[in-house]
Amino acid sequence: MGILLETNKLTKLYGKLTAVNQLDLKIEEGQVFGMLGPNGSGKTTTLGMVLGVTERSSGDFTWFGGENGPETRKTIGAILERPIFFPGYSAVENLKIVAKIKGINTTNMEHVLRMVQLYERRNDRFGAYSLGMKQRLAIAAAMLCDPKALILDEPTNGLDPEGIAQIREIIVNIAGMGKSIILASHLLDEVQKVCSSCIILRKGELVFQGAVSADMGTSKRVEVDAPEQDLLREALKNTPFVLDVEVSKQGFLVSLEAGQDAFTLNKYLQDQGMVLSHLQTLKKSLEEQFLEIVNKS
Amino acid sequence: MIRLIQLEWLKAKPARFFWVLLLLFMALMISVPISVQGLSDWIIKNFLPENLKLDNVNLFYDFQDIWQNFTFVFQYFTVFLGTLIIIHVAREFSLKTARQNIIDGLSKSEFVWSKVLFIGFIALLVTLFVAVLALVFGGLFSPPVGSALMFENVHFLGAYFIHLVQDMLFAMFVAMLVRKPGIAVVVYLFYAWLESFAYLVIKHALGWDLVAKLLPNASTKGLIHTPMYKYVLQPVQTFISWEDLVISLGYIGVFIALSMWIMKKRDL
Repeated sequence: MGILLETNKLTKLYGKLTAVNQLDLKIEEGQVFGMLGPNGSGKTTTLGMVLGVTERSSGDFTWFGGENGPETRKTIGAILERPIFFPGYSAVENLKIVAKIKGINTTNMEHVLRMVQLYERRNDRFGAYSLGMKQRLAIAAAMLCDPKALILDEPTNGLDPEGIAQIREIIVNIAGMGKSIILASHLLDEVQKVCSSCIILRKGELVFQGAVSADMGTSKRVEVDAPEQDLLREALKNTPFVLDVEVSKQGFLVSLEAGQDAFTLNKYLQDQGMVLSHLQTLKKSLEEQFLEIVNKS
Repeated sequence: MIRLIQLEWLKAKPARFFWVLLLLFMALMISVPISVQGLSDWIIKNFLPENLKLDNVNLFYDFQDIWQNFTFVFQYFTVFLGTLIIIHVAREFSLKTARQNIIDGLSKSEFVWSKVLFIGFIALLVTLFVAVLALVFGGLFSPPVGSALMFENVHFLGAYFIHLVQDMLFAMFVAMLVRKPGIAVVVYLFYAWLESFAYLVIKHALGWDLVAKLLPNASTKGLIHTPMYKYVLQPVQTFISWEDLVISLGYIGVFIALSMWIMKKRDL
């Protein structure tokens, strides 16, 4: 797999405010990539710069390992912030404009409109659409050129549960077609549900990059107990990969070094002659991890 | 280039304001030749010697003169086309479609060029429409002349085309600067009003002819000199001076360059 997007010290200043600070990113092709961060963390500004609408203050970026001009953008489908079309024009009239800009014919139009379930409403004016339909039309427009990559910025913002479910299903379907997707969101749940790896931004800085399912850089915690608590405490304190021991309701809460888990701890303690009566890995939700990462840095 | 004109056409065609302003503009143009009939009759009755009086003649439609008469009068309606261009361009910023266009793969300079080409396209259509109007009304009401004389002053059509392009480019520039259609239209109209005062002061009170000529709005109407003085037997300039042409073409270049500069500098 090649590189989808690479940024090199990408920076945007608004007067004294640094919206994006020296961002170094490397996103591989062929995955659903999440961009997570609270509102105002620089997600849209970053995407605006790599999509040519926000002038960068310094730094650099390349798509597909080398290009960054308008010709590249023609092979990408992107929606920033909210769906944008002429409100008085129909879906078909608006999509014709997109096709003309991308220099493609409109043979794909029926297909993409059916994909987002708007074919029956294709001649209605965009302004009369519900928010969910507007989002879906934006996805149809992004898919019109059969893009190499899709960039979605807060695609479910403001939608009702049904609308959110529809959009997620469409995203998962598109990902199933093998397209690269960059999904920016402030909703952890959303990223957790559809992304394989992600970055976390905070005040324009990269604070985490890695796989969504992994530990996201935080230590793992295990709860243990044994009939002889004093001996157990001693044994834990002497275990080389234990970082911290706290007393908890059901025994001791143990923080382990990265790479260690309940199995290695149990094995080590058994070798020391310690038999456990309780062993449980405490899974932190992505939410907790996210807050931890954001608050720590 | 064809792609960019087609793109603008797709943007303009479904818009109601586009057709309303264009049809209003054309209706006004047709109404002028009809309404000056009375004026012509009055001049013929009171000023022309008895032996020159002909039936069914309208003075303003004499071939040779008709090109300058029509294009001179029609210049005063260009404000409709300017308003049309302002709404057409400024709404792209207020609706943010300009932003989406760039995201979709249009370059910023292509965005400006597509507007410039569209302006050229409209100017061409309107110029052709004026040519047809002149031929029809001249054919109906002019005393018969040979075909050589008929087209003698046809260069005023070219001057009119340049006037249209310059005025609409000024409107495009205002739209790119202000970005809100309503405010941009007000700025455009208010500027025209303000400049007409400034023109009077500079030209007549201060006597700075060249400075007055260099004002953007004055210069767009500077190519075609007032032909009406001939009806009170005053001399009339029936050619287009190099000086006026250079000023107009200069402004065309300046407005395109400034629009390009604004577009490249600003975030969308």
